[in-house]
Amino acid sequence: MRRTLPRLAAVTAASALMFAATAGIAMAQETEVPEPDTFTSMYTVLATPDTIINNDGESVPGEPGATGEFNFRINSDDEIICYDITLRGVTGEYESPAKTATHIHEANVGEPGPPRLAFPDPSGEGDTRTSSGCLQGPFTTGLEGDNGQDTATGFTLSQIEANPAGFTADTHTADYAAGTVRGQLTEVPMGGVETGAGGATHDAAMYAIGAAGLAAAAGAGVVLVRRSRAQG
Amino acid sequence: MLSALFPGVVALLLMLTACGAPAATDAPDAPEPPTAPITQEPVVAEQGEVLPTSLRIPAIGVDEPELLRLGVADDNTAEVPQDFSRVGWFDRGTNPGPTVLLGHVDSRAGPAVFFDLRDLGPGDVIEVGRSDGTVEEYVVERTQQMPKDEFPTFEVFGATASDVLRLVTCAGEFDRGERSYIDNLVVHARAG
Repeated sequence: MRRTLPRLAAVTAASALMFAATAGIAMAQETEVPEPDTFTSMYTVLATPDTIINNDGESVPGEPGATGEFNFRINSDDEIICYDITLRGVTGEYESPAKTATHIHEANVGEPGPPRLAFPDPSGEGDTRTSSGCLQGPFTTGLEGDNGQDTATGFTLSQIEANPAGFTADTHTADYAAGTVRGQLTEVPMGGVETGAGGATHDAAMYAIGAAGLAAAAGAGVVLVRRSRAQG
Repeated sequence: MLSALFPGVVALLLMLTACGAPAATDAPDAPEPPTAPITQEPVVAEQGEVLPTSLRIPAIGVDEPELLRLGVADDNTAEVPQDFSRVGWFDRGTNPGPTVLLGHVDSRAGPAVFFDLRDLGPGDVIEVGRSDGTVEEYVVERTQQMPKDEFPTFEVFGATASDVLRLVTCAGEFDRGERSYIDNLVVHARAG
């Protein structure tokens, strides 16, 4: 018993040290965060198997019949990216030298390039696999680049906003190491679409709203608040 | 009870007057107010590209021999046609995805090119002409109206592997103070 106590203490101390070390690493990595209230840009990707480029820059086939829809929402002020990924027809185990196999690479169409973001791999039963969430940087990919540093070191989401066409999304499996499906980022507009100037509306509608406001001033307040929110 | 409401009446009247000021130019025969110079170009495909270049919707009498090229505006919203009588195509470059066409429901003078879009229903046919001379026929599946602040960005502009068409315009109440409609209307159609 007497011998166990010091050993236990030693183990506890070692665990504490390991915990501290792990926590230190965790702080240096991206974290899963709740969805922010606002975004600064949004992107979509249709990933297909006919766009795969291996590390030598050669065009190679992806998984026949597979497709991927990658939708991204970025808040570059807070360094948060939210992802909604749906893969259809992707089979087999994921495989990648990075920490996950589903990435955004910095690469133009038809060119290879290093991963800058690594997302949790999509999962699910049957033909469809999905993955959704939000990550906050600074980011890591777990892959060492030519300079000996993680390929996400120094990367910020503002680089995507500056040149979305220079980034591509893909996912890798054991059978399709260069990628099963891949596609370039396309920026999509945010918010509603301003397609009307009101010339064909009737003023009666306005007076109707006015009457509602008279009947219940508080109600009118709600209408006004909602209208101001509806802008843009 | 009524007297208690008078301040509200005054406030509302003031609001109506303020909103009414620009209404003088809203008369049906008033010319469009001068805006920024027209900078949008029609869609012209380059060698090897096949792009949508025209639109016909027989059910509501839309026949546009030319489409404008649109993108994302500086404020990150969707660019819309500067000319209220024209339809625009959201240019996603060479990246595949849904065909999204945008048009105004009205100008300040009266109905615009997509005024009757609300009358489309399931089964109606939409023809999109392409730069290679072919015509793709789409069939309306559903229409969807939602407040602009709940606009389903990825349901409209998001990538999809199937050949789909989405037409977007404004709908609902018009907020004269904001000079903006509260809602958007989206027509979803699939290659027939």
